[in-house]
Amino acid sequence: MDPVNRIFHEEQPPPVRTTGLLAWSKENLFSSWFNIVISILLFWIIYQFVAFVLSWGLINAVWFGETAQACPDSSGACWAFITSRWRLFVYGLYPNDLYWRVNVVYVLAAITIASFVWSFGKSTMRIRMTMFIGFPIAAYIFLIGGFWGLKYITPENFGGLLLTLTIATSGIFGSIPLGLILMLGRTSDLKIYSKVCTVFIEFWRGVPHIVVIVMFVALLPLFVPGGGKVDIVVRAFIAFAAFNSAYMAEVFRGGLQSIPKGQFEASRAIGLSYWKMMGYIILPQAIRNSIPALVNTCISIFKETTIVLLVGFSDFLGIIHLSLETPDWLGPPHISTSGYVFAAMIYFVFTFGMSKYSKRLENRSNVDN
Amino acid sequence: MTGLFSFWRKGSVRSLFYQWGLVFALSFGIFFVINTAKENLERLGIKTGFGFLSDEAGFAISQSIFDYSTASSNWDAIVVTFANTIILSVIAGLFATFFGFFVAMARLSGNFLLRKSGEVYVEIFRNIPLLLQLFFWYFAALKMLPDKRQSVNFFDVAYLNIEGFMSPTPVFEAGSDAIFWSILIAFLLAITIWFWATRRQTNTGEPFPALTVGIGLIFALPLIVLWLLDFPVTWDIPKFGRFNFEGGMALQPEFVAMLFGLTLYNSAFIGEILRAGILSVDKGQREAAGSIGLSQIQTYRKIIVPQAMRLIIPPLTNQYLNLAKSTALAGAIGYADLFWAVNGAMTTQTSQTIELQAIILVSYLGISFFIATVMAIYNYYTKIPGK
Repeated sequence: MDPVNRIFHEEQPPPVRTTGLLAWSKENLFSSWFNIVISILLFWIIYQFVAFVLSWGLINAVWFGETAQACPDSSGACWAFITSRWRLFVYGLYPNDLYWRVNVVYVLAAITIASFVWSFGKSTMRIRMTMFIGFPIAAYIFLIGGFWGLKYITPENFGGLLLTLTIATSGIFGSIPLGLILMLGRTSDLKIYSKVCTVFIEFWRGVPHIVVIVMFVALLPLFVPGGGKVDIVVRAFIAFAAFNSAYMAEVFRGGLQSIPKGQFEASRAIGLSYWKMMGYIILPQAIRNSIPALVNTCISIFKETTIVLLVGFSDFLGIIHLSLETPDWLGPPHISTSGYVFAAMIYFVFTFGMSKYSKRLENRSNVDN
Repeated sequence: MTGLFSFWRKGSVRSLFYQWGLVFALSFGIFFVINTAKENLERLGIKTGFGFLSDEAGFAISQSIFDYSTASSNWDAIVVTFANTIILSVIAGLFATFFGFFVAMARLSGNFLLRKSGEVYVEIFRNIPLLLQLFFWYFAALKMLPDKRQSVNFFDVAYLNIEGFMSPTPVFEAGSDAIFWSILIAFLLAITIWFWATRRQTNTGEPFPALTVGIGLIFALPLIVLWLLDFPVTWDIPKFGRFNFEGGMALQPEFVAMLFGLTLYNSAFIGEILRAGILSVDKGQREAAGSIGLSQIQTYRKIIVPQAMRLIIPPLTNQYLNLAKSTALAGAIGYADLFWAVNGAMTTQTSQTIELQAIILVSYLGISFFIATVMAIYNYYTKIPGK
């Protein structure tokens, strides 16, 4: 007898492919009738959209020209509006011959951002702290000046991207320390401090920001002696820092609540005072935990800067909006479209960059834990 | 260590000292500010008090649901524009939630293209400032609409042109009160059935299709009443006369632009909130639901959504608050909301800035407080017992 089992198995089909483009598209695009319909529809929409963007924004676009007459055709974007006025959009009314001072600040800002994006080994923390504290001071010296031979420039000359970035930065840098103080007050055991801070925070969070700005700009002279002498731009800065500190306080409170109770008890047990406990043990952890939320708040602060145009400032959006209504550029609506699309792209670069940064921080802290 | 300052070492004494110190400092600050304001007002000769509310307003409001003319009082103008703010917030909130739901579905879809499209939508609309989006819709997109002579025609009943959206309005004739009552009764009945069904299911385990019956009731009862009364409602259809549209209702471009901007901007945020809530439900819950034989829809309705809701409600509340507050930007494109009226025309006419700003603050704080309270009540009833 032949010991070998001679029953032949029928030939089996090869295993279904689970890798490769075909298998991937079968699973992710064409897994059911519904998905097939959706995918084909979306393919078509995306194709139409991309084709439109290319023809409108690149092929048919008008790139150079001095007035609205340069762009009579609505089938293409009117980038001439941007190229002929970009200096105004970037520097505002800053004196022409002093543009270098603004440029220095832009470069410093880029370096500050870079120091937070890349890591430099052991000295990372020191570099970041130096930039964080040094940048606002350097920016003040170069932008406003008034000493060391630098000519004094009033903030009223700020405009365009410069004003937007100034308001956003001063709002962010001003509201972080204020927010920390408010958070400590709200979570304090001293009942009256906690009540006062809670009311303060909830008040600012409950009213529209534009109302706050109008209040500061219009009412400050009435309530504070000499308030009329405060520069109107500075009043807007104060308003920005004031209501954003309320949001920052809530961000930090969220970070504080994520600290386990044992940390408080252990610091008390080794005899630390309240301030030492907060300064050495709790706040370093709480601030670290709240950084992703903090960056998100920075994004909304950056977007919120646009509302200052409603009280008469010409920030980046405001100056584009005003330029569209000058006699030179008053024309068919596709010029406005080009202007607003350009503004949107610039804002998007900043906010999207920040949101990617906050996502990266979130992922990294997930790995740490 | 006994000495002159030994009492200072006692924590309770220090805490009392600090707290009373704050009280004194604050009272002094408030007193000082009020005093300065009083002096300044006297010096500038500005009237105080709320007497101006009964004066004639003297400015026109382009959209009002109540009777309003330039001869109406300032108080009427405040009521009308406050109503406009509320109308805009509610409609935009509903639309944004509706679209946000689809955004979340797209972001959670297994279809790669749909998922990515959802992501691109969210990133674009939530990263661009709202005011810029409003400007885009009002000053660029809506300005491309045709002239009123070349209106886009929707089946001869509604028209879209550069002056807005003309739509038919219902005209209620005698006896139409009964319709409103029937709708109210249908709602009450549906809620009663819901409560009864829930109680019966917890007690006996027997299910009852309360949702289907309720929705059916809300639609069927008014229709039956309409039929019994021989349809007392007719439609007033807009018609192009010699120079203009007559009849019907015109949705102004300002309102349309606000609605577009607020809906798209907030739907991106709401979509992300809903998605995060659904993703937060543990995978095991879904698997367990599948293993006890619940269908996909049942799993969502009975297992996923109730648990996700607890995580969705707090940020969703925040988003509604933001939406209501951001309606104050309406003045930028000329929609007649509260902030536009009070801060604009009324301030220049009466110059009683302090009173007017107080009215604005109270109104918006009232809206915020109302939304927060409703959500707190909802949270109270849906929280996990014992937690």
